Amino acid sequence: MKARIADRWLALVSPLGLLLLWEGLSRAGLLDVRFITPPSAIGRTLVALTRTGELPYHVGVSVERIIAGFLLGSIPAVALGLAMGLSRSVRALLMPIVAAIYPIPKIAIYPLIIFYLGIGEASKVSIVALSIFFLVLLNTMAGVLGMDRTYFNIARAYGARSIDVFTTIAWPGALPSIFTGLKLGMGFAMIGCRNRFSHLAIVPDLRDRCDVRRPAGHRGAGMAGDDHPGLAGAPRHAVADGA
Amino acid sequence: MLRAADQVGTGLAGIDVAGLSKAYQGRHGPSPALQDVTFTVRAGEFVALIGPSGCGKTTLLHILAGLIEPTAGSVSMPRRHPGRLGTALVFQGASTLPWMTVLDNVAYGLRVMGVPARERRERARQHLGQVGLLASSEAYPHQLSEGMRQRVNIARALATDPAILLMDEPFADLDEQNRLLLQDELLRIWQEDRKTVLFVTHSLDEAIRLSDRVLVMSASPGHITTEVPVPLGRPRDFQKIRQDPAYGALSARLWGELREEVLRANRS
Repeated sequence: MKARIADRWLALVSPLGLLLLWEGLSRAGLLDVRFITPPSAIGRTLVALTRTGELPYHVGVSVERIIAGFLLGSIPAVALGLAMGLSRSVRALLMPIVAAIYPIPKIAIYPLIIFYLGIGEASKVSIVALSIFFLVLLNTMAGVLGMDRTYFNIARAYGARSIDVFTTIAWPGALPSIFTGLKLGMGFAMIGCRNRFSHLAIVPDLRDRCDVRRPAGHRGAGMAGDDHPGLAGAPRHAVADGA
Repeated sequence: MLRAADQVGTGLAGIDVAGLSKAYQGRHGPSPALQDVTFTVRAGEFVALIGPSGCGKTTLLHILAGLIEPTAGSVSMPRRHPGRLGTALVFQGASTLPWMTVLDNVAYGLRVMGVPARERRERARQHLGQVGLLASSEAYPHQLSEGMRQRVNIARALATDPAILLMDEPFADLDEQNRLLLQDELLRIWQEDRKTVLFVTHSLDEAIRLSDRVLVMSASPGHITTEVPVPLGRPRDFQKIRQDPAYGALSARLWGELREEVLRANRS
């Protein structure tokens, strides 16, 4: 128990240490504050954006998209992954398609999605769903395939129907792998979730907002007139979009 | 060799296997695992099956449990009834489901059989009590010792009230002392309702201690070479039967039957 608490403190040491080092190097003039904003300035901007309600709003929108995209991507992925793990024929049928589509960078499909679904919520949620779908699918399938065959034999020896094998053996048995897929997927969902929040998080953009030469609380030049432009309507974000 | 037709008393709760063969499809044509296996287990009889490693004992049990189809031959076994299995198989090694509590593990067979929740919990508790694990019913398998996990597996099979209990080297992973304890418990439980048992083992001692009759299987492809009756009374006291001269003679005879087969299995 004591070791566990100690581990928790240790987990804070590396990020805090990095921030302190970063701040120290900035103050010592070793890092150019025009390119690498010091943590203190980011913190001030964070407080300011939170006070205006801009940041909470965008975080809310992002979280909604991530949750929607996550459910839309992971539920069919788990179902299909279990089926592919359980049935050799389903695997033979679908694996070539999965293997062909999985390695395509999702960003390459993005224009197509925008073309068909527009630039609204649907396309953004879809890209989140798509970016986690294959990760969860492949992990779920691998999870089922990696299970001890004895578990399936137990079910069959007691006369379990396919649906029982699905729900009582394959699903709980593959859960650890499913969660690995979901964790990996969560990272990709963040990348896939392109919106004002991610623009805020991208450094060149944020640097605009963190005026290191002015007193805290003073809104930077980049902030002026920035009144929630739409995705396509902000040329300043074009670089960040392509990232 | 005894033919099935010669046997009497193969009523509802017996096993009748005639001319059973199984060949697996290999890269270089079919490779036979079982060849013309014929034997009978009478209702209420405890029969042990011994044979060299890889002779097809597990294959035979899996055919009897309906997990794999034989290539040829016939198997006559009791059918399942509502709430009751014809045969239940206790698997080799780790076969508790790690994501279920002990109680859910024991109730698992009943669950997939469609027994209502209340009844299956009741029956599972009863059989957990029988193997002395009632206090651990909410524990998970990883919290138990190997011996306790094997008790869970036995309770799971017994909870389905099978006419026939098939056991595939259930005590192979246990240390000697725990094996003795579990053999003792198994006999005590068996003494209560005298189910028909087919018990696969590679231990001569275990076969003699537990069974009424020992079937000896050949090296692969397996068939039954001999059967040896065990003329020891019941209920059995392991301390006493060890000192019985019949025990030593039986052990010597079985080893005599088995030795050639083990050598043959090692050569191939």
